[in-house]
Amino acid sequence: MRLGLLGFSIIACVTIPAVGFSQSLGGAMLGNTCAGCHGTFGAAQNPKIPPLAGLDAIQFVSTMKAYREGSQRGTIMNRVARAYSDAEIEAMAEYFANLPKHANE
Amino acid sequence: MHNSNRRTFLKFLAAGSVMSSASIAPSLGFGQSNPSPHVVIIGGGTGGATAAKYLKMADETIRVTVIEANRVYQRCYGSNEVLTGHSSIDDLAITYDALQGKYGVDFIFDMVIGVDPQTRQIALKAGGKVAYDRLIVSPGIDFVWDGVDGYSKDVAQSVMPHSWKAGEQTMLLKRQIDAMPDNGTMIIVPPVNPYRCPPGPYERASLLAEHFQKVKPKAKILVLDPKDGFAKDKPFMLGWNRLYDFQIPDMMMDGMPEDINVYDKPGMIEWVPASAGGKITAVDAAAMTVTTELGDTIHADVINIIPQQKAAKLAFDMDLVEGNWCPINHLTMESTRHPNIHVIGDSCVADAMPKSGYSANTQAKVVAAQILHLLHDEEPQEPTWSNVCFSRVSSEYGVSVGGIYRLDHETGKIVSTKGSGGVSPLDSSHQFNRLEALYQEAWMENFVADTFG
Repeated sequence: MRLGLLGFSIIACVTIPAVGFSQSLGGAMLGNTCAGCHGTFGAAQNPKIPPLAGLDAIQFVSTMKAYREGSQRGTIMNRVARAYSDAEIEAMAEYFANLPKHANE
Repeated sequence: MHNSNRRTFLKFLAAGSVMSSASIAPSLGFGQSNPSPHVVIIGGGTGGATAAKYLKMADETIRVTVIEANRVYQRCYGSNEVLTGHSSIDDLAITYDALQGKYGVDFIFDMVIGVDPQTRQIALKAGGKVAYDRLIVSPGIDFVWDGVDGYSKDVAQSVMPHSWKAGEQTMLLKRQIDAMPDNGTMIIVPPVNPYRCPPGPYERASLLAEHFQKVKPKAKILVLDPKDGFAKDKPFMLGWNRLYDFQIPDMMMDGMPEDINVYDKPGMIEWVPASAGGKITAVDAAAMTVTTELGDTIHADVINIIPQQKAAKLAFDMDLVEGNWCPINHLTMESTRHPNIHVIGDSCVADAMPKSGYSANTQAKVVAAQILHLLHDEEPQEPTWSNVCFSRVSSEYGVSVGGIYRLDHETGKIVSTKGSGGVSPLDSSHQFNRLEALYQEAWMENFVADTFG
């Protein structure tokens, strides 16, 4: 159900990103850039920065879009989320949703 | 290094001693006689350690060997907290136990005395050679000692420490700070761009101001800057204004909130930009003075000069440098000067990316992914990088910078993603800066774990 919905939204929401770069960034390549703060494979050692591993994909997408649009105020995440297209956010969501929650413990 | 020496370094293996080529020839990919390709990494710092870990996590059949001079790594990030006594120097020490035990990375603790890009072999100081299929070089920085009269490596090691590589230099500066008179003056001289850890000198001024407020409230910190701006300059200055009676200069007023404080005399931190004569031209180590471009000679009790920087000596020896830094193909991070050698971290030219540990970490992940593709005769994949850096203006006031980077295929350069990234907003709440201080701590812990753990 979750993946089905996500798959639907990928088809429905693909847009040309404002930055004009290619759409071919993979989930792992994108997710690796998060790992410095959120932990290897999204399993943060210090959870004051939230772990991302095993996060529900729909929740991930809505949170990232809320940061991007500014409807959710974070600290650095508003600035970070504005870098990503819908498709990239969905690729990251799928990548993290499929990672085990306690990978790095 | 003279060209003749560099030729010796590069050609050390050419004559005589090479064993029969069949037995040591590097494998060119899977399915050859040697089924397990060998990736060698020179330098076990942030870039090298991350590359080793991510290569082994992606494919445990790959042989990964790190050649590193020291058995214990001392990270630079967090070393400003050692100066204030908030952390101990031991807190900066990191072993390679996890990389060896958990991920199966091989380590050779030795120095490299030669590399032959043709035969893909590395000569070690202790003797012996190592063959590679792909080589990653992550050697970090060295200092440019010229340019300031009276300043030298000897002066830095005895009287005016840079404390820009963690270890003895950190402790030398800490001893000087501790011994400084209660009404003493400390001068910090940040380097010209580009250099390792762009916000570092200003975080140092901040944390020492917080420290001095408690233990030496009459102390002064004078920042003599060869630049007219710096990483996170406005968020830092806003914090200094709120915490350390810092008068924000007119050139930094744009975008500042209305509730900033106005002071008629200098606070604990004074910042002199290049345009106001901040550039120094000479030092006198015996008299403990610096002389500025405008001819002012200033005495201080502690003088912390962070010199101009360049790629580490190894990169010069290996003929990987143009100017002061190593040019690379940004899709694969491969040197444009020698094939099969990839350069990451502070020593490479990474365009819009700052020379930070976080940059080195994401460059390492990109190079690990691309090397696996190249070893499989596949096309490299679309890369992306990031940089996130939290600094503390005080132990309870944090500021940050973030950037998401992509490859611009038209220019081949790494560019910041338009409309994103940047520094902490100036209209942020106190709660925001409090949170960024909390995140700084978590970021440091998670970053170290992602790199070495």
